[in-house]
Amino acid sequence: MVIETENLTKYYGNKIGCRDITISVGKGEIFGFLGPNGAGKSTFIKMLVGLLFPTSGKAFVLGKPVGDVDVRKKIGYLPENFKYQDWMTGEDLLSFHASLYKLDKKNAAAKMEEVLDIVKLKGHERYRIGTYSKGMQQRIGLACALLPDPDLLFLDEPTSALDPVGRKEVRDIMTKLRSMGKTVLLNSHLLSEVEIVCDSAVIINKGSVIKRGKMEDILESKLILEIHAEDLNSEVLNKLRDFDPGLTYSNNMINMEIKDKDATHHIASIIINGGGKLFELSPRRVSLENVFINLVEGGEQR
Amino acid sequence: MIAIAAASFKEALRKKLFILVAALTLIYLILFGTINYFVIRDISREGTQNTLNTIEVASTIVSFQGLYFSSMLVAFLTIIVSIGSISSEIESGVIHSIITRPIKRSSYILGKYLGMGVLSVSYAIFLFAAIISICAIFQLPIVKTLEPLSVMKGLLFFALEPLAILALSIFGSAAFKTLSNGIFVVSIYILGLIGGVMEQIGSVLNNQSLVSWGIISSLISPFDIIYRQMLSSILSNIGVTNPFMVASEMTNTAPSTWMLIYTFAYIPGLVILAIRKFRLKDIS
Ligand SMILES: Nc1ncnc2c1ncn2[C@@H]1O[C@H](COP(=O)(O)OP(=O)(O)OP(=O)(O)O)[C@@H](O)[C@H]1O
Ligand SMILES: [Mg+2]
Repeated sequence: MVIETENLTKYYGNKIGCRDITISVGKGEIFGFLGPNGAGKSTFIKMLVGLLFPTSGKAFVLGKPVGDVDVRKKIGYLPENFKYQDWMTGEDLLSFHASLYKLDKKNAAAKMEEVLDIVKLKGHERYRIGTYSKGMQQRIGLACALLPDPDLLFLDEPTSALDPVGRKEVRDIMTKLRSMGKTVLLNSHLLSEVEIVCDSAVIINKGSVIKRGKMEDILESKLILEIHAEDLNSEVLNKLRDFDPGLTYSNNMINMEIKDKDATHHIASIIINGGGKLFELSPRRVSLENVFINLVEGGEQR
Repeated sequence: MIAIAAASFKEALRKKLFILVAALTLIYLILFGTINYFVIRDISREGTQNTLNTIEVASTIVSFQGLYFSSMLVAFLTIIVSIGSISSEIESGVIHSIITRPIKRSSYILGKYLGMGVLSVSYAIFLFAAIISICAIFQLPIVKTLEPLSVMKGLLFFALEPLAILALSIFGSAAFKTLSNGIFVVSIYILGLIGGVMEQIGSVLNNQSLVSWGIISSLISPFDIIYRQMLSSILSNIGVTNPFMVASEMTNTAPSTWMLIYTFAYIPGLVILAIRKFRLKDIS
């Protein structure tokens, strides 16, 4: 396992940061670490990169207990606030980080070129970071994190300042790293992205895990059906309620949840055989956002 | 460690305050040269009927005007470049991407110490050399009585003072917020100046409790001791060691050996304290 934690817990004084988090992330995975604001995501990542010291529990990264200095040669980290020395130029910053990573001179120059290219900042490296836009600063931060050719990358909201193209680029970087057998721990609020890119995820709320698993298990196999049909009698509607007692019907639109896609054509034939006019029937997957909001709001109500 | 040192050296050079210090230094050196010029002119006009007095005046210039204010300038520079060296990186969050790289937290502290140490020692050497050269250019009588070896020894102590202040300031920067550390370091520096005067007045007046208070404050803030050791190394053959004592009786106020050993231990002691404070510090 590339990341392994066991009941990892952090209290700030007597305030909870995160509590009893046990996860394991395998090699070549993109792992989503999700949760609402203040859930403890950054706290968790900061313990894994050695900024914070756990109150209790254990954590291993790349097979070594956290805090091992040598293992960090193979770890990249993009902090949530991505703040860098604004008096340095992009080039200065990269060579500073190259020497922190103890890359040798020749290797470093090549690597710097390469990461500048990856984050699309070629041509800006001679300017001071103080003159960069927010998104450019986040890009140069990502470049620093990519310098050592990391086996494990921690990204704390890596696309928070990026434009849609930049977000896509970061997604592509992550999938490319995965194809090279690297591991990424991603913390993001952009659930549509997480859904596309992550293999598995945990969702935490108020410091504790509330859902975990492979992405498809989290999304379950449920589908949402949106049906536009007219002349529906109550007999038909009652039959449909057998599939989902919670369906809604108004303005000739039905909205219902089904367990698997085989139900779709049953539903279509019920409507048609019952004399209804079926205009449109579109199944779509439950989005991660739906799951997330249900879980978090459900948690609030309890 | 070297990477941290180089970065903090460059960063200090880029601070706007550094330009201020450079301007202050220039003005100060010009003023110092001017004073020398007038003193020499007036001494030669009076003739050499009172050589002892002449030497005394000249020595006062060197010790008081020259080295006293230079040591303050060096202290000033050291304090402004270092009070926020760690705390401001924590406050801004720049540190997040630094100490998560393969570098020990102790190397981070030592790198900071090294980078700024080189800077303030270079500045100290420059000022010291400038003051001595100005005295030599104007051919102050005192210059002829100076032994090269004792000047070198003096320089050693002159450069030791910013290193001691730096150790204190880095400890404070690892432990407190930048603003608090500024207040912390400046108060301790001033405490040392007052303590030094107390101790010497106490020994002149034979007042033991003044001396004790002076010694206690010197333990917390040994910078004045280093300064006095520096003067006594240079001027031992003349005997003037404290500007405030010039007018009254002259006492041999070179610090005791124990006090010297203490000041040498002060620097590594505080750096170790800084490392211990920082090693397990939560950074969020
Ligand atoms: N330095 C700190 N001192 C005290 N409490 C803190 C500190 N940092 C974070 N917390 C608390 O810990 C909890 C988790 O914070 P954390 O920053 O990990 O949340 P997050 O999940 O990253 O949120 P966001 O999505 O807003 O980034 C919050 O309740 C927060 O108030
Ligand atoms: Mg966060």
